[in-house]
Order: sequence, then C-alpha cells, then structure tokens
Amino acid sequence: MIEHDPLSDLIKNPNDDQKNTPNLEKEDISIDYFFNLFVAFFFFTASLVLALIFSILIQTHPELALIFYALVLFGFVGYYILGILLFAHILSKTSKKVRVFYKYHKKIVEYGLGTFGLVGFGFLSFVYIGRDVALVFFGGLLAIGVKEFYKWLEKRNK
Amino acid sequence: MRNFLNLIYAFIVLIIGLYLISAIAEALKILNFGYIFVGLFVVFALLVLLKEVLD
Repeated sequence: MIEHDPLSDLIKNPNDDQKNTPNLEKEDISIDYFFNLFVAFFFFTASLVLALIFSILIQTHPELALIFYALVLFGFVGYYILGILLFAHILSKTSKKVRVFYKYHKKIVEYGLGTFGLVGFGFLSFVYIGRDVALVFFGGLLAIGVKEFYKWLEKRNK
Repeated sequence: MRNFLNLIYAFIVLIIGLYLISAIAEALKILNFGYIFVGLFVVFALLVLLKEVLD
C-alpha cells in the first residue's frame, strides 16, 4: 500500500505553473477584447443619441441646445480631469482593480470625447456655419472609425 | 502579409464610409463634398503627430 505523502501537496510541481498560466492569460485577453468592443460600441451609440437630442433641441430651443452641449462636453472634461488626476492616478499604484479601472476610464473618456466632440461640432457647424463645413467633422469621425477598426484587426490577429 | 490584409480591410471600410457619407450629403443637398477630406487628413495627421510625440 502506498502512503500519501502530505509534503508532496506543499511542494509545487513546476509543470503545474506552466499549465495554468497560458489559460489565465487567454482568459484575460478575451475579457479585455470584449470589454473594449463593448465600451467602444456603448459610447459610440450613447454619443450618437446625445447628438440626436442635441439636434432636436437646436431646432426647437437653440439656446437650451447650446447649454446642453456645453454641459455634456464639460462634464466629460471634468470627469476626465477628476478621475485621472485625483482618484485613479493616486490609487493606481496601490490596487490592481483600480489600475484596471484607470485603464478603462481613459478609454471611456477618449471614445466619449472623440465621438461626441466631433458629432456635436459637426451638428453645430451644420446649423450655424454651413452645411459643407460639417463634412469636415464627419470626415474626422470616419478617420477615427477607420483607425479603431485597424487597431481591432491588429488585436484580433495577435 | 497579415498587416497588408489589415490595411486592405481598413481601406475597404474607408471607401464604404466615404460612400455612405456622400450618399447622406447628396440627400441633404450638400454640393461641396471635398470638405470631408479636410477632416480626414487633419485627424490622420494629428494621430501621426501624437504617435511621434508620445513614442
């Protein structure tokens, strides 16, 4: 009869580590990948909805629309400055969870500011400056879309 | 090879996007479509500049 050696449980088998790490990494990458897609999609649609509200408001109450747009834009900027400078940056050195939050926080604001800023300025110039000039902002939006698509393709191939 | 394919895919998306915006512009009776390239090149130039500065 072979007796079970309790010490063997305590001694780590080096092969166990090798087996476990690739799985963990794979899991992390897939979470990262879907989360990024979700964030990009969510903020793109959210900014489009906000821009739509803005475009309806600008026809009925032009002054309210400008205040609404300024509030949302400054809200984004304020969130960015507060989040990054005050909370996330200080805490990012201490806990892993906050470090992850900091990483996504930056992405959220970049997507939000980029899409909402361009769509909003596009609508503003469409109404106030001229229809042709609005195309400049929509061209910029298309450029960002193509860049993000290329980044996504590169990530998918890795 | 993969990078080359990625570039082709991105280029296809760019062309489709340009076509869609041109269709919208036509529906809205915007005649000067050339302005879209100003925005495209400005953003692309900014991205390249930012990458150079940050790297």
